[in-house]
Amino acid sequence: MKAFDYERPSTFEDACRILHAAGGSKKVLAGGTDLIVKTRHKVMAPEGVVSLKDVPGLSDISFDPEKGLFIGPMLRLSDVETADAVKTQYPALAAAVATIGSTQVRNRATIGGNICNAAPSADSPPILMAYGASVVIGDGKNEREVLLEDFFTGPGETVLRVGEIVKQIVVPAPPQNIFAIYIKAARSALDIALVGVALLAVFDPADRVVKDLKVALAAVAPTPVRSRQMERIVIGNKLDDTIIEKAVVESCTDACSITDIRTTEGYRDTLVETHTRQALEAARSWIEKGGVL
Amino acid sequence: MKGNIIGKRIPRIDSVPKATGTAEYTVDLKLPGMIYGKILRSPLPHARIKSLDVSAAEALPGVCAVITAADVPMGKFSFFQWLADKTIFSSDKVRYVGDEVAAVAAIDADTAEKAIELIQVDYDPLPAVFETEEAMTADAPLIHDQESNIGFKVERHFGDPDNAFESCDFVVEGCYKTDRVAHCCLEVSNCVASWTPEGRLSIWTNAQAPHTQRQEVARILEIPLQDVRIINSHMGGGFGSKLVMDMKLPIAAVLSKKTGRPVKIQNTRAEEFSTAKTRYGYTMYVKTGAKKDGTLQARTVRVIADNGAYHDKGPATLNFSSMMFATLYNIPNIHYEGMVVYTNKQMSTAFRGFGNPQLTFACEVQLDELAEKIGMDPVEIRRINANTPGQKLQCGAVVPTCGLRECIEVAAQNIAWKEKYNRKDKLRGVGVANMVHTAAGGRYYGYNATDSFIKVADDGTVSIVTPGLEMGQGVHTVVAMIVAEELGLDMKSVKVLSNDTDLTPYDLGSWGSRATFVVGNAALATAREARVVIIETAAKMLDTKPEFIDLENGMAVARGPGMPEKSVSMGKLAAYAINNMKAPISVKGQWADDIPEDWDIKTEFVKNVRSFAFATQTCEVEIDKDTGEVKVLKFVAAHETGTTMNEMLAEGQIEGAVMQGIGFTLMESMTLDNGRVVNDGFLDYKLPTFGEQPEIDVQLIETGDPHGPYGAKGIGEAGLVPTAAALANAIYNASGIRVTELPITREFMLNALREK
Repeated sequence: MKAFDYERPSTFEDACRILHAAGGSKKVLAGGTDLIVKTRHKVMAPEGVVSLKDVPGLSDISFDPEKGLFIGPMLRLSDVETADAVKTQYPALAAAVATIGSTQVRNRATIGGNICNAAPSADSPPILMAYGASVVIGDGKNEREVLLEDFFTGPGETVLRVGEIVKQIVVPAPPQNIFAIYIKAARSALDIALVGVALLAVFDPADRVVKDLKVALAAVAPTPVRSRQMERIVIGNKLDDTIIEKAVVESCTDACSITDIRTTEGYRDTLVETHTRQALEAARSWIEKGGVL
Repeated sequence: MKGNIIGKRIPRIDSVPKATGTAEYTVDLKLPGMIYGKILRSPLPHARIKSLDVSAAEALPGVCAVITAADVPMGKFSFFQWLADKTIFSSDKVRYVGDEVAAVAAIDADTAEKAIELIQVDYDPLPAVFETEEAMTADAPLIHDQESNIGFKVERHFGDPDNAFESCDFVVEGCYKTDRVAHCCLEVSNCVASWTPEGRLSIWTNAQAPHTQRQEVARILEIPLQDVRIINSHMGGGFGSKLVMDMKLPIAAVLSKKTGRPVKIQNTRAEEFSTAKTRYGYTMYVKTGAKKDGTLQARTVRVIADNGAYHDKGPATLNFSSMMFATLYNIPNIHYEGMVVYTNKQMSTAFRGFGNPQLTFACEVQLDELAEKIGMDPVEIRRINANTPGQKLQCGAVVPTCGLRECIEVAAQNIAWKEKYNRKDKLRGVGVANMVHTAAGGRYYGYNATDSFIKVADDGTVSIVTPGLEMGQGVHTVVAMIVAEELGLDMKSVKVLSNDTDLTPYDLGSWGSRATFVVGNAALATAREARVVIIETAAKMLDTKPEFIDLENGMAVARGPGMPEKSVSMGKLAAYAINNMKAPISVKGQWADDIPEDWDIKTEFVKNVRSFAFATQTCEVEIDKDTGEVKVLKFVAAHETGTTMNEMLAEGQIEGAVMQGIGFTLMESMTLDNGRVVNDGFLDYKLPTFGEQPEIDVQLIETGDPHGPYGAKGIGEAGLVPTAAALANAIYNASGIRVTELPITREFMLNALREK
């Protein structure tokens, strides 16, 4: 492995300054489960890494019924998965995070890393996008908030500028009467997603009409993508067989699957359809039962 | 058998250090002054080396030595020397992506890696061939300087299959394929070599067969055998991949000689996937014929095995699968034709089962096809054709004990065969497969014997020096159990020493399900020798006759008619022997296989195997119609153990093997891109984990064995031999899709379901 500098600033500002001064040649080190592995495999060769371990407050998590969930980017995935607020208010997020890597990886990897690594197959971004999450980005002086669905620009690429660090992940308070689910297709129990389908439906319990729907897909495009064409078909309708079939037909419209060593384009598209149908069926069943299992 | 120790559920003696992480593997070893070696490997599958320039690497600060073909003996080598085809480094041409070209030693691993990148090699690419049947065509590029790419052939024949097929009521033919899968040892291949100025070469490595590897190192380096010493420690998995010497041993040795320092070479995981060898991929053309009552009359097979770029265990693999092919059922007319074919890929080698899992997959799937044609239940056709105890088979094999019928009964019952077979419900189904495997290694060396030594310390601790090579299977625990059983000790009072060819008696190593059988028999003989001496000593101390002495709970106890019970501890007894009798207790024991002298390997090839173990596995699967996922709901693995030495170890062996078999069947595959392994890590080489583990109901059938220690049979490999066929047959029962090629991926299943 190529040698690199290791720095561990104790303030957010210092971390941003070091990254800015390095002009992109240094990388943020969070859990290291991607960065170190990629460096070892010579996929990356950073001049230095900047650990955020000593920056205070980056592992905090809090929930406010009005404002929503605030997650520090350095919070370990296993802590996200088991946090009370996540389990009770955002169960589909807890479920999605639980599918990432192995227990050992989740004990090390962070939610900020899973997002900023910008892998198209990452499991947390699609469900966070469905929940309408955004990220707060700081450069030591200013802050900006970016919707997660606008955050990714390509595989491993984001809107982050040199010297910027994700400071917080903000998930809006869940509205009343929702159903959310993340379904992951893989080759084995321990795998990255071949396809991930995240769905969040807001419904009217009285007439069972879906008032809002967000579907986001993993591993079928250079970035996690919203399945907008499909969403439009469903919104304003009841989930019946006809609507579900129409929606499934359009489930791949916003995707552009590829064939790689993991599987083929065709199987990926099949999985998107299959799991979209499953997610919609689950939503229908939930809504029909008045929001209980 | 249930003794005080034998037959009990005894935790393995290395369980605490392994579970707590304190066990030291070769990979953990650091010697004073040790430097790090790295091998430059070919990036091309087939190419001529035009030029090689190491000057930039030599000039790099921190580099201690750079070696190429010019620095090493260049005699050709192979496990079977009569098939020698590989040199330490390639000098003229490279034959697979990973072939050794040069090596460096440097003060640290990063510098060694940097130095490797500075070596300039100019290659002239040659056409490469990756598929066996393509490699056999007339215009295929030749990988070695010989007339064709067929490297070795074997034929076995008895009876008259051609005529027999004519008189069969039903005949089935088909082609079956299995993939080349990796052993996936958690500890990668590695070694530390130290060649001291006085001319002694010590190599610390994870070897399954240290004594034969010692011979191989001496042979390839052209040095006297006495100059080589191989030292083992805890081992993170072998499964056959660490039987034959890896080239990193002689390379590290030469680097050590050149630098005067110990040199460590360790595979990266990517190197392990690319160069640590694989299971032989088999293409099998099988034909089976039966009468309408289901009795098997004739069977023929043509096996084309993927050798990779060089010879290794191909002949042993082909020969062994031919023996099991002829022994599973008593078929009077057999023809077996096998060959290994060179391809521009990494070498294949032994892998748990030596070709038997491959061929059993083909034969036991075909048996289901035949049963269906006849209109017979798959369990029934297996019951009809099962061997029985004492049977002499047409092929010459004798099965003195055979529990196959019991295995079939319990495996069928525990999977609820009658209720679940052909239920045609929700894509659920059950499958069955039988197998036979050696229970005692093989006699291929013409020699199958070993020794062990016991000494009793003055504190009563008993140490046994055994060649039993512990690779995770538990042979050290078994050896300790045998000693404790015979000498009336608890497990804590027995120490097992076995890590150094300077210390241990000669033995052929841990492979072929032979360790408990061979090494265990030697341990038993030694413990019984020790028992005699201990009892004689106790009789003197306690002033009685030896026949009144018993050994129990760490004591020698004298009981006799009309005498008060007297006893002495093992420690006091040993001290008495040392101090008063001037005769410290130390003994040697031996076991030797009585290989028949007039034995002809060609006609009586099945006598290669001393004892056989039979088994039946059944399983239930459910197929997801939307994703093609095959969910394994339950496995029943009914295995003949002869005598179960330790239920915990036996269950562990079989459960682990079934899981390995599930990986072989449903997941594992090497993905190549122009000969380069692209899934060279666990991210994309899918191996089953706890997440895939079904309920595995292990049933141990005790039939005894006339030759094994306490009647035990070896069970190290058997657990995965029938797994693939049982799964494929269950998939057919669930879906009507007959799968003849492994692995059966989700994508394959989904496409097959949709085509239906």
